[in-house]
Amino acid sequence: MSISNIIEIGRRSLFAQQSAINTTGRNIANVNTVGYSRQRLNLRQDLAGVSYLGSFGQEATTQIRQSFTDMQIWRENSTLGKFSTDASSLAQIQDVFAEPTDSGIANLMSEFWNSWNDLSNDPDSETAKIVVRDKAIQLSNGFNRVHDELLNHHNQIHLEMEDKVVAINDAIEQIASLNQQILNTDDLSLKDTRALMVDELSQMVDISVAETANGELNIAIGGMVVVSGQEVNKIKAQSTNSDGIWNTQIELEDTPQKINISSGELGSLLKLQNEIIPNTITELNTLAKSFADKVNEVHTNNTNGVSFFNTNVTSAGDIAINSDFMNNPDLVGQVEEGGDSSFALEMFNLQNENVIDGKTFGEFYTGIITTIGSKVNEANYLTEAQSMVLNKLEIDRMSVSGVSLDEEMTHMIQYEQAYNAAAKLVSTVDEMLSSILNIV
Amino acid sequence: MAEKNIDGILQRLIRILSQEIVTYTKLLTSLEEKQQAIIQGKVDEMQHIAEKEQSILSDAKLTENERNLAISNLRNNSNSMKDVENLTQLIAVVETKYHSRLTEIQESLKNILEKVALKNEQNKFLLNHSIHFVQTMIKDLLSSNENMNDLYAENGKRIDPKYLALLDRRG
Repeated sequence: MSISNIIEIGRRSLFAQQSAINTTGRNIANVNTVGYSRQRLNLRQDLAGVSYLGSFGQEATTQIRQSFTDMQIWRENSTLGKFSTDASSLAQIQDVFAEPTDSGIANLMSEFWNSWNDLSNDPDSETAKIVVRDKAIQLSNGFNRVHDELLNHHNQIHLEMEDKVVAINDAIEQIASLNQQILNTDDLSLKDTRALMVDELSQMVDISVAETANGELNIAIGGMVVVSGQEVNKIKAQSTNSDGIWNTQIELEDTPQKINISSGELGSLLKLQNEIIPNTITELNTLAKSFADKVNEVHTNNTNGVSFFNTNVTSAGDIAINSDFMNNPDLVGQVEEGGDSSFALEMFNLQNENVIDGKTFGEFYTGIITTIGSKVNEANYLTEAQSMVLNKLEIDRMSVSGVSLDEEMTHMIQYEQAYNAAAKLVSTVDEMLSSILNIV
Repeated sequence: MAEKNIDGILQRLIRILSQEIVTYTKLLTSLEEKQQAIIQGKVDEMQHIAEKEQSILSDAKLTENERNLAISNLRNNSNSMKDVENLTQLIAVVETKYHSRLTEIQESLKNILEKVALKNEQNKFLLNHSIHFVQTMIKDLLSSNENMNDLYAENGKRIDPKYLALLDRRG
């Protein structure tokens, strides 16, 4: 063995070990870094130089990632994003109704009916008439408040949805940019950064991800490719507004190609904005209009054509009592000369009549609340279940990609023992050689 | 001193030396495999090769004993060979018919033993570096958390780094 060969062995050996120290050191330093994937040093034979020693190429260090788990996480992430957004937004809608409390519509309706019962017991009582008027004002305000708050919530969700589209476009631009950087550099941390960006994107919208042979990630949303290598195809929210109600479709920015978004935070926001809140407002409007019409019908027929609520109620937002009652509460339930003041009892009994879709006012309103309530319960349950699924996948991912100090330590001790055992054999071979060399 | 068995002893010695060439060739192959295992950090393979190497060395030891016995017999049974210590001296005193075979064996043995010695020396060098490397790593691992001087507990007090080491050394 020539001196130059020994020096070459030493140089490469030290280089190998220094690189291994750096890799393990990087693993240890990033033990608490979110999204960091454990790196491994791949030693291999050098075909070009000294044949019996390892050297390093561009792929000497590799990340320990399991793409199958990554794909599963990205898919389940969007489901969790949808359920958790459903749960928080629906809970806010549920809070708007404030049921069951004194200020909830159910209680206000009940108090309104009871006030008519009191009036029927003393039809000429001005106090009883004032109570009926005030309970009607409270009920109208209750309808108005819930209607306006639902609309506000609807508008907030619309703004949040537009912000989400901007965030999605930012994410896909960054992923495309990282695709390019990863092609041009050996920095493995860029792959972790890109995986984190895909994690975030998958929570915002349901995506499908495919990795190309050269390591680029292609991403599609609703079947439409938005990242193809370094190319980006942004999305946009195409919205229309009718009577304060937004309706939004997601399209590709450059071509009016509609994208079906079914999951992720954006999927949840779209469904809330386009379906759930508008449907809830429509049902509330139906209740308020039917309520006003029916009460007006009974009141008008038994008084001198005086309507109880305003006659042009179109929604829960504009229901109000006859403004004449404000200055003249006597007009409430004031019968025509010779009329029968017992109609107050008829008004009281309206609460038991099936007047909307075969249901009483109370049953119809309970239906609205129950629908929202069951959706909240379902979303909470699904969020919890989905979190467990995702948690399991995260653990799987960490078991592959995560850095374990214990594991690194175990490896080192295992190496030390193996090297020491091998070193003892070197001495034995030396002894054997010295014996046989004596006779050669 | 009876010289009648010399031919038989020489033939036996030639068989033993031939066997040693085979054994050391196996050892050389094993050392080459071990070198690759060391370089590539294949611990399991290294352990497997070590077991194989131990078996080869055990065979070599048996053959060495047989060889020593054969040489001792030659010294005891031949006046001309009583001071022989190596093959070169043996070739000088044996009959001509054994010259070429013994010379051939001597060359082969020299060749294989040089290679074995070289490979073993290389492995020794690599193993020393590797042992130094893992010991450095273990030291780093044991003290890795001690470098975290800016960690604070929930109560706002700084955590003594000695409590953060991978192994609990508080005792």
